[in-house]
Amino acid sequence: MTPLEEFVTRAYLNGELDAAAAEAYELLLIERPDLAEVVDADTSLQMGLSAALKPSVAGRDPEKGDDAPPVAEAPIAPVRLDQKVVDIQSALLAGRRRPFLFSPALAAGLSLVLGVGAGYLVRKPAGAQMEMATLAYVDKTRAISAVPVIHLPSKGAVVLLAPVGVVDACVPEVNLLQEGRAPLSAFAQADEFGYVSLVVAREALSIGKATVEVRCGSTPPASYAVELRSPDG
Amino acid sequence: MLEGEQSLAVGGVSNAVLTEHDVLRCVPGLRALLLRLTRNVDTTNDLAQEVVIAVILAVRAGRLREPGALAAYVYQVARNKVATQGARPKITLVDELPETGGMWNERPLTPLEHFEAHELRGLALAVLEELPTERDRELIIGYYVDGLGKPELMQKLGLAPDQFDRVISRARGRMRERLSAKMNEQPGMLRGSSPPRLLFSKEQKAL
Repeated sequence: MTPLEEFVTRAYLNGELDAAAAEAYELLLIERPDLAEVVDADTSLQMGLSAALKPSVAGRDPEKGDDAPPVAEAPIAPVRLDQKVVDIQSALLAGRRRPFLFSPALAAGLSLVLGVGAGYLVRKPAGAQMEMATLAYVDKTRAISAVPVIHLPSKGAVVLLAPVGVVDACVPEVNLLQEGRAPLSAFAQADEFGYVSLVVAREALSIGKATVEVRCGSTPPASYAVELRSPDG
Repeated sequence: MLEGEQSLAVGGVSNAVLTEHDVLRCVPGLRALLLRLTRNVDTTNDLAQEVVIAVILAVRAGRLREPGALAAYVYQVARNKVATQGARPKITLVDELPETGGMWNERPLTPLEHFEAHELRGLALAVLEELPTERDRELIIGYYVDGLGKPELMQKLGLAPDQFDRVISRARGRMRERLSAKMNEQPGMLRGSSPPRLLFSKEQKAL
């Protein structure tokens, strides 16, 4: 391991790399067993010490030896105060740039349905920590070639419902592209019915045409036009 | 070609570019990444096997041909597996599964695959105890157990950045040495200390 690799490894383990750099390091990690040893040592040190010194958190007595549950059940490491939070969108954008021969494996029949519907308002009970949201949903399967129209509320949060069919273990990336605005991106895990739920602030949406893009990996497998309208539009 | 190495075949035609061993060589790094992400040895073992299956299937299907793309492919599949952890398992037809049970046993071993929980605790505590000063031990506990950050610990313990790095690096290095030494103590026993694991889970063999 070169001094530079040692430096970068230390930065990675200390959580001092930004998302793109951390991803680049992890790619290198896949190819380098010697780096894997160092990373394993750090992880095992944390796991071993946590299991030994935090029995109250783990709910276990480290003195029990073999009878104690495996370290695998040790609590997740606490996030260090100086550790950078992974920027999901940056990571996704970085991933998109990779020369990655990844067949997206989205089903041929993948359809994204996004739309309008009659929104409903969730009233805020007294004292509860909830906010009003508008549900936007249109069953595009009834008119598959039509451009879904989404009537936006004047403010607040919007919940977009989109059915997604995937092949392989892929969490689809859903992008909402609007002219003059940065793309909105999310990793969206489909529920048991194949729908993803996306929450977006009304302020992040512009009235007009937009494109919804769904991808798995680096190749855009599908995109659909949608139209965003004002409540009375 | 190394002993036990087989060319992956696509439609009966040998693909001389990527081999099973190319995929297996990624296992130590893959496991280190998965363990970092999950902090769970069992989950890491399961996911590592699933990733290897997915990659081999991709190679056999011709979706992955370039050796230079292997690490990125493994990385992406690993990320996806972690993200979909707990979701319903994808059903794979038995005919599609690679016959890699024997191959999996030839993968490069990593220490954590075979360590019992109490052994790991013992090693970690030994590393902690051999640190020369109480301040160093306090630093390690604060960092690894309490999750405190570097700036906070430096201020609390009156350390310069290089002093902080030196203590952490020493502890990591000693843990690495102890893991390696423990694994090399009885290599034969290590390899046979756990029963051969099936490469495929029951769910994956559902069909």
